[in-house]
Amino acid sequence: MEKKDLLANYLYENREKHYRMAYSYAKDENDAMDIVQESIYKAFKHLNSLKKIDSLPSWFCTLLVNTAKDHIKRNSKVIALDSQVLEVQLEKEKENQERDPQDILEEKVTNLELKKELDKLSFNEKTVIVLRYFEDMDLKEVAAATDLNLSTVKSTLYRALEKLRIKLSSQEEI
Amino acid sequence: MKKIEELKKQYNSIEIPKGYDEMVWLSIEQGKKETNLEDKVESREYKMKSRVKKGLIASAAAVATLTIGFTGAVNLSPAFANTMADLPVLGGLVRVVSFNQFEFNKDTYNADLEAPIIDGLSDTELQKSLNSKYLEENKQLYDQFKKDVADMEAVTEGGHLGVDSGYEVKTDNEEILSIGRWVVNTVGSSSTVMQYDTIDKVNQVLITLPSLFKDDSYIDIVSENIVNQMKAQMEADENNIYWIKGMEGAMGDEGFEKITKDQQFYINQAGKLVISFDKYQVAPGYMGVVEFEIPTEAIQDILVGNGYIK
Repeated sequence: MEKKDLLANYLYENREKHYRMAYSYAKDENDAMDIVQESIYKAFKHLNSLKKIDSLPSWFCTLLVNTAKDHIKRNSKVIALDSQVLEVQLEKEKENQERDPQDILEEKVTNLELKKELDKLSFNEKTVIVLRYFEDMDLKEVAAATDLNLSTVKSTLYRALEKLRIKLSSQEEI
Repeated sequence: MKKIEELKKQYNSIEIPKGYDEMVWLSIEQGKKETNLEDKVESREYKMKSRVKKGLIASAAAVATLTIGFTGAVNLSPAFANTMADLPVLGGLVRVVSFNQFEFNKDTYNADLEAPIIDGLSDTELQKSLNSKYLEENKQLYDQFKKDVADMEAVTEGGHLGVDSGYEVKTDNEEILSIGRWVVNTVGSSSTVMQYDTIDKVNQVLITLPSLFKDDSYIDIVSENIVNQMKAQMEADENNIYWIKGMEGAMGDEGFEKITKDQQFYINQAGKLVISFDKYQVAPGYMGVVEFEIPTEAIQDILVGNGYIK
């Protein structure tokens, strides 16, 4: 199969995973879709830079993270405004939930809580948390995908956990 | 670390919005073309290949029109809409452009899905609904196939699964565009399903079988003609076998009796009505998909007019 067909299959099969990753950075659904879409275009455009087909997942991961970064930079003003809106909405939804605890509503609030937690983190902190714990990559893979060295990944991860007030017990490792 | 587990659970339940799958699919297709445009040599080869293969024209501009057809995707993404705006506007030429959609090859599992794309209809609603239908069909085939492969891998080793879809342009003249789409499923033996759409290019409407006739009497008249053709063919060559209801060889009460109201049909280059049956529907598997051209004399009295059928 041609390289671009492999890429096409990979992108379609992992579309939901990519959406979740993008959503971690995005302010809303449309934003997340834009990030994925832009990443797909870039992937085909720069397919020559993919040297080994085995490294396709981490190659695309890097691309998606960088695209998200550019995206945030471009829309930084909008985001500042939007996290305030998010707070208000969260409060509202919580009130609603007390009165009417529906499953659908609960799920929405859950999403918002996750977002609220992730919003406490810087871009790199968010990335290492998502890749290490949500996408189950090991530290080396995280380092490769983020272009950071291993010790930076570790220190970033510790800092992120601290911000999220997650304490590691003595036998746990990051 | 309990909190991380909790957050992960929330992460995994992030809802995927409606329209996302389409967006990804279309972006991939668009992306594939971009790769081709970047590399001139490869691009030319690709075009040649698809022209030789299907005898059809593939052009970047035509693909772009397809994408505009899906307003859902355009509305969802401003970036997407902007990309489209840069592309040249096409003339009012109704045609079908090749659109290779998906391939999946792994050991003994193979899928090769291709859908037609209609381009140039000024009735964009009609065009959009047809093109979305084709896209949606193939998307479902692909997802189903992936599921079947997973199911099979779970229980056995070395099974064989295949799905192929594609299309052929039956008629493309000044007045009419008839497209047939086929799906072949291979699990041991193969089954083939054909579906047709016929468009009146001049008036920009989809032609249905009932719309060709004055009333429902066509069901009996066309059916009778088909039965006669079946019998004549069997007489002429003993290798031809059809199952006709009430005749020897038909299984019990099975066998062909009447066409359905919306039987699959197309109008051929000569302006004749052709009725199509899927594999196994009216004949043994080796007969494949069978077609019957209905002589216009047989239906002249009940035709609405001779605009389409000559």
